[in-house]
Amino acid sequence: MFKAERIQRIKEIIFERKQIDVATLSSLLNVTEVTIRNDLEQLEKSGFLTRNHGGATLNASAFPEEQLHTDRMDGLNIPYDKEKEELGLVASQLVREREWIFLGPGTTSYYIAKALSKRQNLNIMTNNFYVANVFGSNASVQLLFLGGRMQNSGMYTIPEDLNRELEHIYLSKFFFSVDGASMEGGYTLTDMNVVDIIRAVSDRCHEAIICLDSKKFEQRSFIRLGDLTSISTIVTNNKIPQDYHQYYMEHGIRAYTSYNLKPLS
Amino acid sequence: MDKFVIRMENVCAKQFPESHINFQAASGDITAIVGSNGEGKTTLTRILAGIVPRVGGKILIDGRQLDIHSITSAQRNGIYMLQESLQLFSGKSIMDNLLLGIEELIFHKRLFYPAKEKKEAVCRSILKELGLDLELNQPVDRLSQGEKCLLQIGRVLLCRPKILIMDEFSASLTNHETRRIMNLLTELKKKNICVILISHEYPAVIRHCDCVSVMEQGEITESYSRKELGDEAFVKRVLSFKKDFSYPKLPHKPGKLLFAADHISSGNLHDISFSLQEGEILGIAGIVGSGRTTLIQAISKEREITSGHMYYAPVLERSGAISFLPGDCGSQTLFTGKDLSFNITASNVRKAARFHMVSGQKLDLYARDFMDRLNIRKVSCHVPVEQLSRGELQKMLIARSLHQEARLYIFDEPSSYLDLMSRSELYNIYNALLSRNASIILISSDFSELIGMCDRILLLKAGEQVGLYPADTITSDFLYSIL
Repeated sequence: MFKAERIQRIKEIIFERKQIDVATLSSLLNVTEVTIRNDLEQLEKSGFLTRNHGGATLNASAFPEEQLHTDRMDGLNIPYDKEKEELGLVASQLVREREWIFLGPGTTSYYIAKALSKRQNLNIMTNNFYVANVFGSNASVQLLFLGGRMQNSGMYTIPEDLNRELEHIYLSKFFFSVDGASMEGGYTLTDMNVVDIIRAVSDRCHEAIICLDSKKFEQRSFIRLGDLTSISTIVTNNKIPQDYHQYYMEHGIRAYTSYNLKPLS
Repeated sequence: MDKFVIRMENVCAKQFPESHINFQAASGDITAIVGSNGEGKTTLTRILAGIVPRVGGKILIDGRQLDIHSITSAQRNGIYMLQESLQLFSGKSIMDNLLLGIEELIFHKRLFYPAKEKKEAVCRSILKELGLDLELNQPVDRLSQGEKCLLQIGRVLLCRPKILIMDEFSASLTNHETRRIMNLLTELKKKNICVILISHEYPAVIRHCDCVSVMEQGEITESYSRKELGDEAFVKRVLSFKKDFSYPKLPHKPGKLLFAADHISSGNLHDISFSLQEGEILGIAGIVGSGRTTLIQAISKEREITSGHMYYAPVLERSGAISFLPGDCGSQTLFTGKDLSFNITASNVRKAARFHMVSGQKLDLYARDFMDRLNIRKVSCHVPVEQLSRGELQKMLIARSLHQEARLYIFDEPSSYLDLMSRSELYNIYNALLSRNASIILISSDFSELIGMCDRILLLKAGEQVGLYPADTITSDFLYSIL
């Protein structure tokens, strides 16, 4: 294996697993540890990773989404999140052709949109700039963007009178996320405006689907949206705490969990 | 023992502070409590057995009030409960499992420990009563689920119970084992024991009961006597309480044709035709003896077909492309005594080899990677496989198939021993397999599972194909009526 090829493979592996030790890399690529160390040193210089004792970690903060993928992401800095990407892939499979869906505020919706970006004949409504940006170049997607007051911190809009805007509209699926989920506190959010948006859209859709990566469990935030049983479908990661998974099952809540089964090569 | 009636009057549970439970059951009867999940069935019985404290109300036997505030006080009054999961001392012998902790109750307070002969005599007589023919010194770990369940009942019977409560005992048993236990319970009626069951299974359990109480929102709302059990209205009511498990089915776009059977016959199988595409999940519904095992053997080329022919896509021609995973994880698929790492990577050791030398470090690496992906979290990769739970064994077998990069997975009764969460995990793994373009054949006697997860369902009856339907067009009642 040539050096350039090897470095490319190392990049792929670290990108996939976020961190890895030298011994593993050397055994995977069938080269000595010294060679791996040299390669890692070079990659560290280029800012791709940080070396630490015996291994290396992907520089997540130094790698906002737009540098890794050459999507058109003008000025949007979303830190890469593997869990959300996997979750978005599962959520996107729930979307059927030609049905109207709503993608709520937040970066989780961005990852769902990204997973949907190669699909055709979609009807999407959103108030999320990240989402709008993804579909900007896809002509076969019908996108309705709700205008309103801009909320810079979250890159979404707050429509003046959402209920009036949605008055004659009926949506099939509504994907959204919250900031925290806990047994006692239920689903909670930080942003008051988002709670209002979620409530208004939920009334107008056939099925509300909550998308939560596993880091959000056991977290509590400011405003309560409802009980854990208030939404009957959840999309999450396989790392969801077991007691929560058990709780969802006991209460008849449909839980989709993402599994990344691509074998290590 | 005299006849008696146990009654709960206005009993309150902490979970349902608003509702008052009024419930009664007579000795010599089998009483079933039915209702959806989370309506308070288990809570009711736990109050009766002293496991959960009661808030207000009375528990009476023939008008005499009982003071039940703990498990011991309930047992002193002759109330024993078997909870959902089996509780045995693993590693201990059958005799120990029957007697440990209750010697005093059987042999009374003595200065000396009871003689071995006496203990053996007691155990033999109870095993005979249970219809079990087992060696007393054998460890319990090798027993089947049904035998384990019987053994637990035996342990309780030694305590001479007045009231025996069983919570969902049939959840992990096969139909045959369930019938065996129902027969035993019917025998117990003669001894004037009051049996209280919680169950969801109408055909196997509830129709053998003398009395059925319906529980809703923490209250007993209706009671039916034996005579009313055949009524259509009642059957509908009970079937509506079927476990409302929500199946996480993802729509998949089927890909290229992977496998096709064209009018094949083999052994007791006769004229079966179906096809399977990439990314599709095909269910096979049929009772034991309908030829499903023969069909699987034919597909996996373990058995010659006598007529017709089968098409295999080129990707299936590679060895290891078809993977069969039995649900009971019997010893024929495990390397017992070997660790997880060995068991996972055994399907493709060559992957970790270089110049004909296999690197143990690399094997562990692959194993740990799969364990991480499939959430086998609590154990290390050097634990022997015997120590794993059913759910973990299933995942281990899936990991092994993934390692050999199988394209067609055949699952035989995968979820019969799994709890709700492990089932949900398993179904989501199916989804992930399908989205990687693998195909699945799922054999199950749980019809709701087939309908919930499959794209199409093949119906087999006595070796004949009686139908092939898209799963979203049929109901489990329809399957029950045909098979």
